[in-house]
Amino acid sequence: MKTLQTAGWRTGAFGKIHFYPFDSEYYPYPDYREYGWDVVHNTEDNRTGEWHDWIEKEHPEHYDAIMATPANWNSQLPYYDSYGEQKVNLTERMRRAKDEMAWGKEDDGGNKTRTEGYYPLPYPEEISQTNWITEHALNFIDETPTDQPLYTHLSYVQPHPPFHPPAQFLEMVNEDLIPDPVGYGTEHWNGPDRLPNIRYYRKLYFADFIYLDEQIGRILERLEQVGRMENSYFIFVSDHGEMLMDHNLGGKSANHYDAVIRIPLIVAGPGLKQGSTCDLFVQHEDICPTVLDMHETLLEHHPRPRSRRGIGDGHPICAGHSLMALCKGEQVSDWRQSVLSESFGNLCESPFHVGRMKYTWKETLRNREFRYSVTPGRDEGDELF
Amino acid sequence: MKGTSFFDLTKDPNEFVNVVHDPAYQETLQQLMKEMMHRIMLQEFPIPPRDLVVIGAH
Repeated sequence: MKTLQTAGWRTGAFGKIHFYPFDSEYYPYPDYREYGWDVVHNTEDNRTGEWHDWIEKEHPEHYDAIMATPANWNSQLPYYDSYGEQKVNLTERMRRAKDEMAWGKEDDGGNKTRTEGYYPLPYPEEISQTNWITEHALNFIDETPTDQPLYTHLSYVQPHPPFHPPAQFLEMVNEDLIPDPVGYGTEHWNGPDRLPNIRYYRKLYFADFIYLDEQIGRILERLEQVGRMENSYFIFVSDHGEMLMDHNLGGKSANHYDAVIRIPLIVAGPGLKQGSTCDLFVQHEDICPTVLDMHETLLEHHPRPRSRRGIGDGHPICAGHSLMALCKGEQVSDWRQSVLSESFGNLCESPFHVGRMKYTWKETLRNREFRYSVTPGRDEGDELF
Repeated sequence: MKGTSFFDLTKDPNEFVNVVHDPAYQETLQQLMKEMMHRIMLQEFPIPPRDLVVIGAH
């Protein structure tokens, strides 16, 4: 980001950032501008922060509904029991809000821990976290002088467990196209038969995607209006996938099945080949060199790596590889033959397994033929995932 | 091999069977273990590992 700023770009981050400080120093809002952003409007999975405070002040009638939506693990955050200047106990507020929430009858299995993970949005779409993120990004586009280049980090929280898309998007999902989970109906399925719940869970996930698609459409429309569209590059990517109850697991958990580590990466923009796909192995580290490769002036502003021995000619200046040649449809040689995936997360955050969490570190090497995963320090026996 | 999983994606694309103890895969497994270690060490490249040791990054 600092490279972009140095090169004269205006930078903005909207939504989920996940940078330090994250958990411990959340209130008052952390200042992420030191990372190289000119404008930041941050809101995360735990819902606290700017968006939460805006709802509490401007839409208090919906505050309880919003406090029913954070996942249960948020009550483990250190500041959750004493939030803001008033030192409000959000854990207590969240539990009460969840208890009072009228969950949809489709997922009412008589077991509350099962119903908290997926339901239609319990408050108006116009004030949703997703909409709030879009609005701030639109303002950023409007406020930036049209002759100044801009970089927008637009990071939505949803779709993410707990899934809660606005109800109107459920009607747009064609349920017949959604497959049943991997392993269901085979000898490898080790969970109870909850197919109707799982199908509804998946339907809500896709409804949230349609909502996301609509929101991104608003951004594209605005770029068109201000005359930036034909000069804009887009990178669509996610930080992780979603099990959607494949293998009877939900969320990203701490497993590295393909559903979790194979995420979408779409790059579009002027001069790039349209509608083509590529099956080479790419990693998140490729995004930085790709962005630096999008405009000829950017690379010269990027700091060179420090080394006591100096950097020789041809030495890369950052990790990863630019994807621009691939996106233009050019042939590349000597590309990586596997990916390394790492995660630090909870073992199971499925709505069907609340209360069975354990933090784990995991390393995975995935090539075309094999997946090899190690969870150091885990001593309860062989991993099954 | 506690906490380890190993899947043959050609034969088992849905990743149902952990073959980490299967004698037929031990050679491949050793190769992948080495490759993973190599990748972990090189992932901060181009900052040389020597510098990483100095700043205590790993």
